[in-house]
This record gives sequence, C-alpha cells and structure tokens, in this order.
Amino acid sequence: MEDLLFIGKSIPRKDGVEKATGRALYTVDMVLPGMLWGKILRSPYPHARILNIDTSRAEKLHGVKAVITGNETLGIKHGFVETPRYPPDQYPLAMDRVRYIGEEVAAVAAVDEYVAEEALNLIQVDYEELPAVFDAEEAMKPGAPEIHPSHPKVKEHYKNIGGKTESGWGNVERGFADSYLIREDRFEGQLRTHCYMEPQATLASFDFSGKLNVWTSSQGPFIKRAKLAATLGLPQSNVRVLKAYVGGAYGGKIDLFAHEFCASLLSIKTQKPVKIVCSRDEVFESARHGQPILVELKTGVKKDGTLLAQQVKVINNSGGYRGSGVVVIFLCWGFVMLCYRIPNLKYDGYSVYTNNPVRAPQRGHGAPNLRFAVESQMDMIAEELGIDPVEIRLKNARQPGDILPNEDSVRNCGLIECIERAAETTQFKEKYGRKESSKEHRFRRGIGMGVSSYFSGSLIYPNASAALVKLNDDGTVSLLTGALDIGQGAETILSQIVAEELGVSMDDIRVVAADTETTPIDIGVWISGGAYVTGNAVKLAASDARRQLFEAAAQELEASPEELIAKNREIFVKDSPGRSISFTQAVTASIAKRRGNPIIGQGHFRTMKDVPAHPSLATTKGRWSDNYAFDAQVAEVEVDMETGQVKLLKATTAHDCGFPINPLIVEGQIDGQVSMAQGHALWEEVLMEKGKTISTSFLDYKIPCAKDMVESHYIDVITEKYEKDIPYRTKEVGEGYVSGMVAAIANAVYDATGVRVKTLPIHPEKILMGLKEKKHRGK
Amino acid sequence: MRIPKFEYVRPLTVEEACSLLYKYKTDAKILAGGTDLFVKMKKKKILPKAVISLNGIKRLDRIEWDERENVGMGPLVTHDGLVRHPTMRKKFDFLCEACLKIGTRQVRNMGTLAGNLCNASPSSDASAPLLVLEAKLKLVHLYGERIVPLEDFFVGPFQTVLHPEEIVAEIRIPKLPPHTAGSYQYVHKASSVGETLVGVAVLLTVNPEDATCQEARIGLSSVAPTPIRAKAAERTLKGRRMDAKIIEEAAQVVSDEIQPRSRPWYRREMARVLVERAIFQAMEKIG
Amino acid sequence: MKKQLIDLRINGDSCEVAVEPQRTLLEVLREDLGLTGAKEACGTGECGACTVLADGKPILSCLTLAIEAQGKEITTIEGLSKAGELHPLQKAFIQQGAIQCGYCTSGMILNAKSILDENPKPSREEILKGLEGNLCRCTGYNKILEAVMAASTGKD
Repeated sequence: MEDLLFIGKSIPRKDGVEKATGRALYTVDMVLPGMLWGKILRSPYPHARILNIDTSRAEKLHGVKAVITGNETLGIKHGFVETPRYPPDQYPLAMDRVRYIGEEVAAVAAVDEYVAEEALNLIQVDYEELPAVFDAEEAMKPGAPEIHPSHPKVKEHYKNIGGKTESGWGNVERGFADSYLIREDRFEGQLRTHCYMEPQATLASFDFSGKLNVWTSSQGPFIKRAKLAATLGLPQSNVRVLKAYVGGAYGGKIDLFAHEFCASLLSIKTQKPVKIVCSRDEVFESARHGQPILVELKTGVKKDGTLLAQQVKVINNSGGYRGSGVVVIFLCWGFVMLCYRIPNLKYDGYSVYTNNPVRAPQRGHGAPNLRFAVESQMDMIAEELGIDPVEIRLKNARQPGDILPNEDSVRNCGLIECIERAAETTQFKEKYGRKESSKEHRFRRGIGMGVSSYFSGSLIYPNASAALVKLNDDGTVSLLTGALDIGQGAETILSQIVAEELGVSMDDIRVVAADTETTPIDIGVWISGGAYVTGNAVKLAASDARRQLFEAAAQELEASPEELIAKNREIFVKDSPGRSISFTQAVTASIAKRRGNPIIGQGHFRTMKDVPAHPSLATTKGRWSDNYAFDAQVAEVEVDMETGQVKLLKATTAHDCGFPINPLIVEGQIDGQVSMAQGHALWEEVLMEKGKTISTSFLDYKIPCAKDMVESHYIDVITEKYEKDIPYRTKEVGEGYVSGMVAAIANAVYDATGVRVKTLPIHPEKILMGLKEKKHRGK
Repeated sequence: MRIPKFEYVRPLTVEEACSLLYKYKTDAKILAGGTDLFVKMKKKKILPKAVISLNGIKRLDRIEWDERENVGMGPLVTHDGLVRHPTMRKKFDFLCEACLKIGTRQVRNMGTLAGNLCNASPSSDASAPLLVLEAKLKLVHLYGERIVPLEDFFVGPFQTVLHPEEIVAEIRIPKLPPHTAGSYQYVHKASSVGETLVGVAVLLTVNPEDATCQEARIGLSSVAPTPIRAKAAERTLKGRRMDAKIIEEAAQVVSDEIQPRSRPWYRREMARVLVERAIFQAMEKIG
Repeated sequence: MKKQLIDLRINGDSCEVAVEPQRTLLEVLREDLGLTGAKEACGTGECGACTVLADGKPILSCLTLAIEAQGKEITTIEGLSKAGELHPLQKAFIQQGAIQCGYCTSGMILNAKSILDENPKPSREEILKGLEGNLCRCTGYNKILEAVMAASTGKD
C-alpha cells in the first residue's frame, strides 16, 4: 500500500493507559449520589402460569424504595428481531406466564443489596406449573407442550417453531443421483456460554427533566436506546445511553435485557439512580447462552471430490422466546454456501422454542457449529475417496469474483490463497495421516484443517454508521462516533483512520464515543461491521474535514487544494515545503474568512447501498453483504492415548481480512478466537437438567486459563487496500476465526486417533470409547 | 456477591477460640484462609451467626519436627507455605506436587491445609497424598483433645468427624522408613486448571536388594464420596516382587474396586492408568 | 451489625474506614475508597480479577475480609505507577497488545508483578503457571505472556 503512516501499523491502543492503571470505568464501577441497588426476582419454574404476585410485604420492608412487576410496565414486548414476520414476543417483566427458569418476574430497588435481596424473599408469587419440554426435537413433536403457537407461515406440522429458513437452488435429487459418493451425517454442537469477565450490569438515572440516562454493559447504545424507549413508552430523545467501558461481550450483550429495563423503570419510579449488577451465578443461570445447533448434512460428490449437492437441516434450540434464533438459522444457510461452490442446495433451518433460558449469538453466531459439521464431513468424504483434505477444499473453494446464489459477489476472495499458504506453512501434507504410525507410543499427534467465511457488516438497525470529525483551534481533533469499544480496539483503529486522513498524530485525537445524545448513529459492535462500516464513515468524515481545511488553507497559501498535503498538524504545498501553514492558522482563517466555519467533517456509510433492507430471514432472498472475509485454519494436536486428553499445540490462521488496519489488534483477535475455539471443541459445555442450569460457576464451566495458551501463528492474505478519498473494503476479524479452528481441531483429533467425534465437546472419554470400539471392530 | 452478615471474633489463643466455639456451638464457623468458608457463605450453603478467626493467634503456621522426626503442621499452614518449605519439598515431594495443583497461586497463598481437609471435598488434591502418608489430625476442644487418623476423618462428601466445637490444632505426618517414595498423578476434569477428575497417590517401600514391596499404600480422590485407600490393591502388592505384571494387576484391582458415581467408566479407566503411572514413578524414585 | 473502625495500608497510604465485619477488602477498595481497579468477575475465587498484593503476595480480595487485611501492605493497580511513570509491566502490556477489554488487566498485572518480583527471569512455563488463576476471555493469553517476558528482559 502507498506510504501509510498509521494504517497497517501495530499502534498500541488508545485506551491502554486507562486500562493498565485501573482508571477505566466500567458500568460496575459507576456510582451516582443517592444511588439505590436493584435486584431481580426470577421464576423457579421452567413453564408456569403466574396466578398472583403479592409485593406488599416487600414494599413495607425498611430500606425498600420501589417494587415492580409486569403490572407496573406498559406491557410492550421486545425481541432481538422485530419484523412483521417475526414480531417481538417477550415482555421485559413476565405478565401472565413464565417460560424458563430464571425468567424475570419482579424487581426491587433498595438502599443496599442486602435489603434488596431480603425484599425479593418477601415477594409472594403464586404459580401454576405447566408441562415443560427442553429438547428441541422433542419440542417439535405433536404431543409436546405448547410454549408459543408455531409460526403461522411454517407449513410443516411441527410444534413450537419460532421461525424457519428455507432456501435452495438447483435440483438436489438429480445432484445426488449423479453423485459418486453420498454421505449423511448428524453433528451436534453443545450449549456454550460467553463468560465475559464483566457481568451484566446497568446503572439508570431518571432525572427531573424527564430524561433517562443509562450506562450499561452492552454492544452498542443505539439498539438499547431504541428498545428501552419503546418498552418504557418514552421518546428516544428522552433516553440517553452513554459510554461505559465494557468488560467483554462476544454477542451476549446485544439486545434488551430485563435488568436494563428494570433499572430504568425503578429509577423512574424512585427518581433516584438505580444500579443492578448480576452476580456470576445469575449470569450463568439466566443470562443468554450461545445457541446449541443440530446439523443434519447430506452431501453428494463426484469421484474427484467436486461437490454436487448438499441437503442441510439445522435445528436451533432458541429457549423460551424467539431471541436471535431466527437469525442464526438464516446465518447457518450463509455459512453453508459461502466457502464452497455448491451447484444444488436444499436448506431447512428451524428455530424451536423450549423451556430453557433464551439463547443469544455467541462469537461466530452459528458458524462454529455449522463449519464443524461441514468441515468434518469434508474430511470424511476426502478419506473415503482417497483424496487429501487440502486438495478437496481447493477443488471446491470459492474463487475471486464468484457470484453467490443470492447475487452477492465474493469480490477479492482470498480463500484459495488462505488454504494453500496454511497448508504450506504448517507442512500439512507431510504431517497428515500419521495415525497408523508407531502404535505403541503413548502420545499421538495429528493435524487438521477447517475453512470458514464471515460477512462483514450487514443491514440491521440503525442500518448505517455516521461520524463527525471536529477540529479544535489548536489543530487537535475530536472524533465523534457512536461505536463502542468492547475490547476489539474500535477507538484505536478509528483514530488511526483519522490520523492517516488528516496527518495528525494519535495523541492529537480525542475520541468521544457511544453516547446516543452527542454522537451520531452507529450500527453497533455485533454485526462485524466496525472496521468496514464505521471505519468508512469515519474515513469520510475525516476526509471531509480535510477538504474543508484545504479549502481554507489553499486561500492562505495561494495554491489549489489539490496541491496540498497535511502532516503533523501542518498543511504544505506539495514540492514546496517552505509554503505551509499550521492547522491552527487554517482553522482561524476558516472562521474569519469562511463565515465562521470551524471545520467539522461529516461522514456516513452504509453497506448494500442499492438495497433497502436485510435479506429475508425466512427465504434468504436478497443481497446480504458486499464484503466477505475468508480463512483457512490449521490445528495441530497431541493426544494422550491412555487418557484421551487432547492438547492443542499449535494454531495457524491464514486469513483474508482485506488488509489489517492494526496488525497487533488483529493478532489479538485471532488469539482470542483460537482460545474460544479450543474451549468450544474440547471442554466447554453448559449442563442443564430439566431447564435448570447446573454449570453455575467458572469451576463447573471451564474456560481456557493461562496454562492452556496455544501457540498461535498468523498468515495475512491481503486482498484489498487503503487509499485516500475512496471507501475501502477491509473485512471483519472479530468473529470468523472461531469456526474454522473448531473444525480444524476436530479434524486433527481424527488424524491423531482415528476417532471421529460428531458431538461437541470432544471429551476425553469420547476418544477412549472410540478407540475401544475401533479395537473391537478390528478384532 | 456479598458475604451474609455475621459477628466477627478474633481470639488471641487456641483456648480462647475453643471457648468461643463452646459458647456459639453450631452457630459459629472457624476462619482460616477463607477460600472455602466465604464461598459457601456467599452461596448461602452455610449461614453462621459468628465467624471465629484464627488469624490473630500466633505460631499457628509453624512446621516443626519432634524428637522422633515426625512433622507437625499448624492449622494456618497455607498450601504455599508448605510448598515453599525446603525440607517438606525434599521429604514429601509428591505431597508438595499435589498442593501445587490445588487452586491457583492466589488460592494457595490464602488457603490452609487444615481448612482444605475440613472442607473434605471428595476431589481434594492434598487428601490422597496425606492418606498414604497416614497423616493424623490433632483435634482440640475446650475440655480435651483427640488424635484422629486422616483415614477416619472423612465420613462423606464435605463431611468429617470434626465436632462443631473442635478445632484442628495440628496435622502430623509420621517419619518415613528408608527406601520409601511417593508419587501423585492426576487428570483434570477439563482444561489445565480446576477440579481433579481422578487423583492417585502412591507410597511404596521397596527392599532394594530383591525388589520386594515392603509396604504399598494407594490413595485416591474423586472416585468415591470421600478420598479413599485402595486396600485390596495394596494387599495385591505387599510382599510381592515388583514387576510390570503385578503393577498392572494392582491397577486393575483398584479400577474394579472403586464405585464412582459420575462418569464411572472414564474414572475407572483413569484410576487404572494413573495407579500404574504412580507406582512406576515411585519405583523410579526409590531407585 | 455494628461497624468497626479499621486501619488499612493501601499503596503506602493509611486509610481509616468504618466497616461491617462481612465487608470484603474488594468491596471496601471499590465502594469506600474509590479504587475500582480491582474487579469482581466471579466473587467465588475462580477468576482472579480481584487480585491485589498483600505484603507482595497475590491474594483474592473478594474472599478477604477488610478487617483481616489490617497489618498488611496492600498494593492495588492504582499504586503501581509512581509519580506518573508507568510500571514496566504496565508499559509492556500496552506495547505488546496484551489488553483488550481490560477487565482482567488489573489482577493480571499485579499477579505478574509478584512473579517477577520473586523471579526476575521466569521461563514461559513458570509465567503461564503463575498466571493460571487470572482468567482472560479476550486475549488467549498469548500477548499477556509476551508482555511479561518483555518486562522481565527489560525490552518493550
């Protein structure tokens, strides 16, 4: 790329000092004068009618300032998805029915948490238990208890269908008829959870002017504002959601949560600030977990491994309400068709209600489970055909310029290069297939590959990002953006863009972020569009500011704006460095001579400019994204054949991210996703029993610790570039690298042991049992 | 998560502590490191009216040898304190290895060995090594004291014979005979940190001349309601000449002996594998 | 419950606070003394986000009574930088990209400090074992290890 000073450089993060010195304030750290503490009463039953709630004893307890139930709300529902086809289906506080253990039924605000808790114990709720169902396939059967009526537009006579995605092209019957080999397999992805270190927390403060101020641990303030305003019956301009540092989210803090609503309503009732902090066991029991997904995959191939037909059935267990279930079944379709050319496809995805806590997106949002299925089966097919795993992937991989069945283009898709370079760097072909060697050895090593793809930004409320770049009169810059830094480095990379466009240093930029009142709209940091959508909005704002600056400077320097360069807060005439003025002088001149213009640059950006909205979740019809990221990942494992314990030795990620805006940050994202993939593939599982969460602490639910650190290698496949004055197409790096690695680990375990595990996680006993069965079959 | 409210008392002597326990009876709990006590209280599993801290009493963190070379550890000896003690590391290396596996660095700085034993988790890493070392506990109360072998101390998951009015005053480990060595082997439940799925401690005394086993002790944690000794397997080894075949046999006896309630197949397999590994490692140390 | 007047030594300063006995050191630091660097991620001793140093040793402040922290020199993350100058570990964490959401950072840096104070040149395994009690969900620990190694060798 042309000589760039900031883009593509490993610049340390802007908020590093605040975080390293303990000064960064997260929602849990915030206090306001007169603040009350709130707590939530939750349903102990998975399915029940609420007959009566008596809060009188709680209200009388000394120190209690307010008690609310569904009756104190406006009874307005909300949902992750709110469309005519999928209207909102959940009350912020249950009205007449509860549908999962942990569903919010009442809330109190009191002088401290001890009193609040005592008050909860004094609330009397009379329930009438109803029959409950927990397994998705059971819930679909005709005799299952009805949690919600099935979606009216779903033709099949299944019960408890929250939504369906149906898609396809070509003729799968003919495709299978022409196939040399057909495989049918079933894969199960387990229930996992996010384990963000900062628990769910909200501080709400309703002031006398009628304004609700909210700090909450989230993934973007605009969607929170919209849903709070709607459910509270307040105009959006009366709800201000402000920036707080966020201690991790990974998809678990996106839409409206009951505690946010309750803190707000309690503050409105008490006219005092109310803070609710969920304890860790509360988070494990009742905050949203990641979707568990069942995949039934039938694939037909030619003798040389070319894909001919795929038939996919996906079942998502969405919990007691629709949540994001109808989104994940749409996304799983995408994750089937993005990586490989599939001439004939039939896809059916079902989101099923069960009496479990509502599920949420978790980093990859369906891709980890889906790619685990597809990539495992690809390896199985390759083995049956006698082709190696790299060859079969190269044969089927999307090529640059491919037009997807929904008419999106994959543009500069770097998938082939990712596969080739990953294989070469890891010496894949030399290492693969050693499972039959040295049978007596206690440790066996294996290598496996997984490829995946992820979209970078898609249309979802508020459907665009905008930014403002203000010059201060000393030439320093304020960047106003609605983007929220949840650890992914948003403020840093956006500052790099401003620095590059304006020729200022990183220290010259102050970021004002994520405040619905003062910063422009932003799509949020959960739709993989931070770098692409918000980044381009900021780029446009910065270049707009530069244009205005140059117009003012050109006048002073008696040159044309095209001849000017900005560097170190100075504006030079190209090839005539003696002719220059400072930013300060340019700003002063602009105010004096251009009708008081202090120089404020404005930019906005939207994906899919010629398309009104997101594609249909139900039919997949419509353009989805104009920017797709691709990757090929390789895992190298070592298995103790006596205990079945798997160690992930090395992870290699070859990724087409367009170009990295900040390689240090990109590497950090890759490392974090490799770690999550390790947990997903090998250990993590939320255990539930009849709707009750059994894994309620980090002791029960093990996430990787320092001793589990994996050696991580990165291969950047560059397919895009950064140029001044035009939008760029860098791709997402925050979600797509979990899925390929989960698949790679599963394939590596098979390579090491000859045991194929189709249900995650790969517990050691699954391997030992598999080895035992192999031995028996061998005899 | 907040700790429920309680009265706090901080005696200056063990006698005073016993007297307070006598006063509060079952309404009080002893505070040593706090890593188990406060977690249980935060989860509302126990709600004592009073918490009696031992941390104001001097010299409870001592590790001392008597004239017969038995070692006594005070109730406030932390896992970290034990692991750092050069003589303990030399004489009881496998106990120290087990203690290094407990919790995390921070937990080891705070948690005490005595507290760990009183908590009586079936999966406690320190228990199996202490069982095979035939540790004894000195329990004191206001009107007297008693010595209880560790093997008799555990009666069920998180249950011991400790009377509500008793305090563990000392953990004693008898002197080891010559040509004796121990080993601790384990597998985790998941990842590299956290609860032990199966823990095995082995203590062997082997005659160097003819490789016969004079004494074999096998302890296991996390395979039964309490940490246990695998007595049948021990009998298989005692007096026998140690070779690969007898070791394999003993390991199989352990595997058949135990009745784990959760993940039984895998736990039995792991017990077998780990007992073999532990015996082999102990043999190597004896030389 | 009656409050007791206690004397804590935090970052070299004496602090007198009136506390009920069940108040933990973590709560007092965060709610009474405004030192919010130490965090609660679990409250039950598994995550290490509440780690502070007591006489140089890393402990869990969420399971330590404030009353019992008396008589010890407590170091929190706020006490690490001196006269506006960041501690080498803080600098290394920033330079090496070892901070993402930052929630685990305070506890992680303090624990790392105690490792380096005891052994200025630890091996990679010693560092990773020492940090096993500080959970991080963002970084995978790779750059955290690089940061501690960098601080130990004096390179940034």
